Amino acid sequence: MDTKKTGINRREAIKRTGLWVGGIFIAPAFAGFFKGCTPAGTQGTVFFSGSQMELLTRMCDLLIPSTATPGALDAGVPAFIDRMVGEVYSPDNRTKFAEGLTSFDDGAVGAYSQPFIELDESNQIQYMKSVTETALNTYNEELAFILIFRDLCLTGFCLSEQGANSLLRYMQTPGKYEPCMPFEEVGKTWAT
Amino acid sequence: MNLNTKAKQENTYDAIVVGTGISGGWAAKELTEKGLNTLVLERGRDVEHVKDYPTMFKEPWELPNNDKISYEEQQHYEKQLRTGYTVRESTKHWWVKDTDQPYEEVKRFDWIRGYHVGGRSIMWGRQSYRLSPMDFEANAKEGIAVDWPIRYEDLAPWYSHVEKFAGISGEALGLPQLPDSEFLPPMELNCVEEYLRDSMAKKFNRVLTIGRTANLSRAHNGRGPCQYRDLCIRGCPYAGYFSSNSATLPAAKATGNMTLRPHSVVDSVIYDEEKGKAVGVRVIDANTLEVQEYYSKIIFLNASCMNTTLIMMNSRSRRFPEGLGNDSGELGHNVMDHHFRVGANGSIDQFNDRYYWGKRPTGIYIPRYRNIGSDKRNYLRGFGYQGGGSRENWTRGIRELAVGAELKNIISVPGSWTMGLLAFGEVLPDHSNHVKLNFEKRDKWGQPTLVMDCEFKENEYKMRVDMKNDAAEMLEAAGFKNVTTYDDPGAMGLGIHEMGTARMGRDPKTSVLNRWNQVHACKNVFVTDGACMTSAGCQNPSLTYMAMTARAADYAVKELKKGNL
Repeated sequence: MDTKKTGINRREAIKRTGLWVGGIFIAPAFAGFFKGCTPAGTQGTVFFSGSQMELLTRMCDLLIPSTATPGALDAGVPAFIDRMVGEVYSPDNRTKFAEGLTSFDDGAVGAYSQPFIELDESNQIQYMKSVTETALNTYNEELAFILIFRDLCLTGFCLSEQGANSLLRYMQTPGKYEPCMPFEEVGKTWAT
Repeated sequence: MNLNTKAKQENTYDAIVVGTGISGGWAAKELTEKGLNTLVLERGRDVEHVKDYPTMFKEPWELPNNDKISYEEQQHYEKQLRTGYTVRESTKHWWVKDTDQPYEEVKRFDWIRGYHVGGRSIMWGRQSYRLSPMDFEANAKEGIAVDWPIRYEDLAPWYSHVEKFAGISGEALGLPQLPDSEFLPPMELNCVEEYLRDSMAKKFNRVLTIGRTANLSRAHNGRGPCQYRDLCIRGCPYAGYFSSNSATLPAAKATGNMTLRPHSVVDSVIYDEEKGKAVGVRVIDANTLEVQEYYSKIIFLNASCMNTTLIMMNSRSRRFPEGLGNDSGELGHNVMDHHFRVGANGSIDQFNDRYYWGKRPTGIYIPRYRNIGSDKRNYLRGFGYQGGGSRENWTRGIRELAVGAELKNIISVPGSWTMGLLAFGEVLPDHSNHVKLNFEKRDKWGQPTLVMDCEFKENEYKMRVDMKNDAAEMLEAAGFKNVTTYDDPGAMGLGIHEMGTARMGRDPKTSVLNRWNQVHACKNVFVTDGACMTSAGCQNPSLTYMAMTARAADYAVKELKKGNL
């Protein structure tokens, strides 16, 4: 880790979007987007409330949209994230993830005076990229929320039946081993 | 009286084998094939090859939560989860629940176990290397612990014997520090691994070869060949790798001489003070807790290093108040494992038009080169490297700024080739590294529990400096970029190569077993699992357990026929 470079980027990052501490975005007390949101379970979810699912769904669709190939929503990634956080994460990490989601949205309100979900797509992309850039340039003991989200969304998509067999290539039983063939003959990244 | 005699007859066999893992499976095969009516005891459930591999064909999307177990379930596997890769949705049925199988840690000890027919032979890493003449001589030359009572030449024909049956793929090199096996054709290196191999040969005069593995590169003895799924740990529907379930136990069953009894927790070996030998074992039925006795002329303890030790320590008699065969006080001492989780990674900006087909179930191997010939280090023994080259996959998309179609484009193409080197080092036997029994704290079968008190010592830590720096140096010399090192020793046990607690030796005063793996003072009890090891080498040990077992079984049957047991 180049600490000098990180230091500069960290200062820039704080100026731009606020401060991440221990993977949690510390933002000014903007209006809480999740106030009065529906409780978990009412939408058939494991952990997230209706409004949290709405936000996550939009984030997934933005990160891996349906194009010529299926996207995150085609592969059911929001439900995958809901189960992963609700069933696999420790209670502590569940709380941190939910707080990260709230901070992500609060940050959008801070920067654009509108919740993330109400921004137009170009602003959503710009904001998501800026938050990602901050996370990548800021050293934290814990992975920043946005990187945890990207990990979950990519994993849920790339190991789904739709993702593994469209954007990527998947075979459970390759039957042979070719150590160094022309890339064109495989054509895509192996899903596993 | 009549009833008792009849019951005793029904429970009497020529031989009893305790355990069905790598070594127990071999004991069962060799003894039954030599005509002995053999009872094979396993503490866990039965696992029949193919039929009982429930996840072998599961797709990634059929396994909930990316194959991770739930938080609630994780609470049962606190220690088993320490490896980071063992307990998953697709494999959780192979690992013990720590909440059911407690042990104490004076110092952290990662005891990773599977209790079922086949034991850890289902989930093992399959890397198969012979120990060398140098390994059997090192203790004597350096004055460490005690001398091995055998030499490489004693074991060499038995290595051949087990290799011909198991099927080991690899490349013959003629190296004195890593004798060749009876090989099936080697699996191939990829272009980046060949590139590093050539650089290492030129710049360091060191060898890189394909990992020698019990995966079948061609069909062998009615099994395989490997289908390059790299899902071995779930159990292989093609019998593409060696396990007790796919190979030795079916062979034993085919003789008609094997009685396999699952759900049988062995409490202790029954020692007859008058006869001066063991006459059987006491078994607790894991389901009913009913205690049964089984009798035999010879007993093979293959319960895995720690559990064989537990059984011996729990086998107390007037003759052996401190546990069966423990005249020397060495039973439970000299715990060894391999120390690893140290090495380096790098990437290279070449071969970007090349990719692979299939998932090779082995990596590379760099045989030991330290403290050989004129090379002298500030520590004893040495290490080898495992690892491999591959291209970055879609996970590289996590740390990208890209969003949307841009991100999809990035991850649909593999990233740079990367190369990783992971060192496995020898751990010296040290009397102070030991386990003992806690008779106060018992498990739900009423068995005393183990207390682990082991740690890596100075020699291991000195070695780790080379293990880390050499890896980085070899990668950098070959032109790899972004070379990073890591060093996280973890704790003993994590190598899942625990061994040494009933060591072989020449002198009954300082060792537990003799040169034929017989308990010195109770010659019809044989121990041929990891417990028998006098030193560890830096090679993966399972192949040595197989060879040791076949050799001891051959001797046991000959002695039995001579009326000596």
